[in-house]
Amino acid sequence: MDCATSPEQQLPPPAPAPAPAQAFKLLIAGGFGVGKTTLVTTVSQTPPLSTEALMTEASRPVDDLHLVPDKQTTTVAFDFGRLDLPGDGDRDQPVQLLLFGAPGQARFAPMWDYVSSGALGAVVLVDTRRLHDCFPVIDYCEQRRLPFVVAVNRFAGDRHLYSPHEITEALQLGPRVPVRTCDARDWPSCKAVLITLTQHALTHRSYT
Amino acid sequence: MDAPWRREPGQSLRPYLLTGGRTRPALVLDVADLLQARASPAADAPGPEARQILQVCGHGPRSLAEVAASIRQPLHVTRVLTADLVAACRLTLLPATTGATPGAGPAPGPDADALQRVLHGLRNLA
Repeated sequence: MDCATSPEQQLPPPAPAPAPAQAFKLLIAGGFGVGKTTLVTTVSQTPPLSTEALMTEASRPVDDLHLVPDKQTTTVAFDFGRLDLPGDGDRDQPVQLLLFGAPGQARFAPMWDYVSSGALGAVVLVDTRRLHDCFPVIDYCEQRRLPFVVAVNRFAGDRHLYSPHEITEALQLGPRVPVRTCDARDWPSCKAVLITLTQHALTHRSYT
Repeated sequence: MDAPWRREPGQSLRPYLLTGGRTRPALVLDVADLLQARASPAADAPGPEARQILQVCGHGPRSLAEVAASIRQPLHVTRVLTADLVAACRLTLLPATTGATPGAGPAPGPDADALQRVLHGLRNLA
C-alpha cells in the first residue's frame, strides 16, 4: 500500500462528528498480588485484556531512566480495561477511561512512563501487610507530579484494620494525598476510588 | 497464494513478519490515541491483522492499547500496522489531547473541564 510510505501525509479532516470521544489514561499500580487485575476487571466494561509491550519500547518517550540501570529488552504485560462514560446529552464528549494495571516495583518504572504522560492520575493499591511494595510508585508519582490516591485493598486475612491516618503516616504521604479503603472486587467501592482520584486531580491542578 | 503456515491456530508468525520487518510506524501514536474505522468494509484489508484492527475499530473509537490487546499483538507491532491503516485512510485518528510527545517530556493531564466531565460521568454510572 503506497500511502504507508508517506509519513508526513496530511489526512483530510474526518467527517464532522457531533462529539468526538476522548480517552484518558489511569495507572493502577501496586505490589504483586495486591489486586490490580481484580480492580481493572471490576471497573472495565470490556473483558479483561492484557497488552504487551517491550520494556525498551515502553521507555521510548522517556528521558529519565535512573531507576532502571539495565535497559535490556523484556516483554511486559499491562492489565488493560476500558470504562466508557457517555457524554451528557449531545454537546458533551463521551470519555473513555483507559486502565493500565502495572507492577509497583521500581524495575517496572518504564511501564509507568508509558502510561503516566498525559494521564488523569494513578491509583496506588496497597496491601497493609506489604506496605513497602508501593514506595517506588509513590515516589514516582510525587516526582512526576502525577495525581494519585492510595487505595487500601481489604483482604480477608488482614489482622489489623489500619486507619487512613496511620497509612498516611506509614507511607509518609503529603496531607493532601487521599487514602481510601476499598474492595477491589466491588464496583461501588472501586467507583468511589475513581471519583476520589478525579476530585483530587481537580484540586491538584489548582495548586500546581 | 497458498500459505500453509497461516493455517496453524494461534500465533504462528514472528511479529516482525507482520510488519514486513519495519519497526518504525508511519505516524507516532500514543497508547491513548483513539482510532475509528471508516465506512469501508474490512474484507479487502491488506492482511488478517489489518482486517482484525478494522473490525475492532468498527464498533466505535478504540484506543491503540485496546486494539493491541484485542488482536493479541504486542503494542509496537500494532502501532506499525495501525499507523499504516491511518495513512491509508482506512482509520480515522482521534488523537489523545494529552498524549505523550516523544522528547517533549511528560504531558499534562486532562484540563479542569475534562475532569469535571469525568466526575459527572462517574457519578452518573450505576
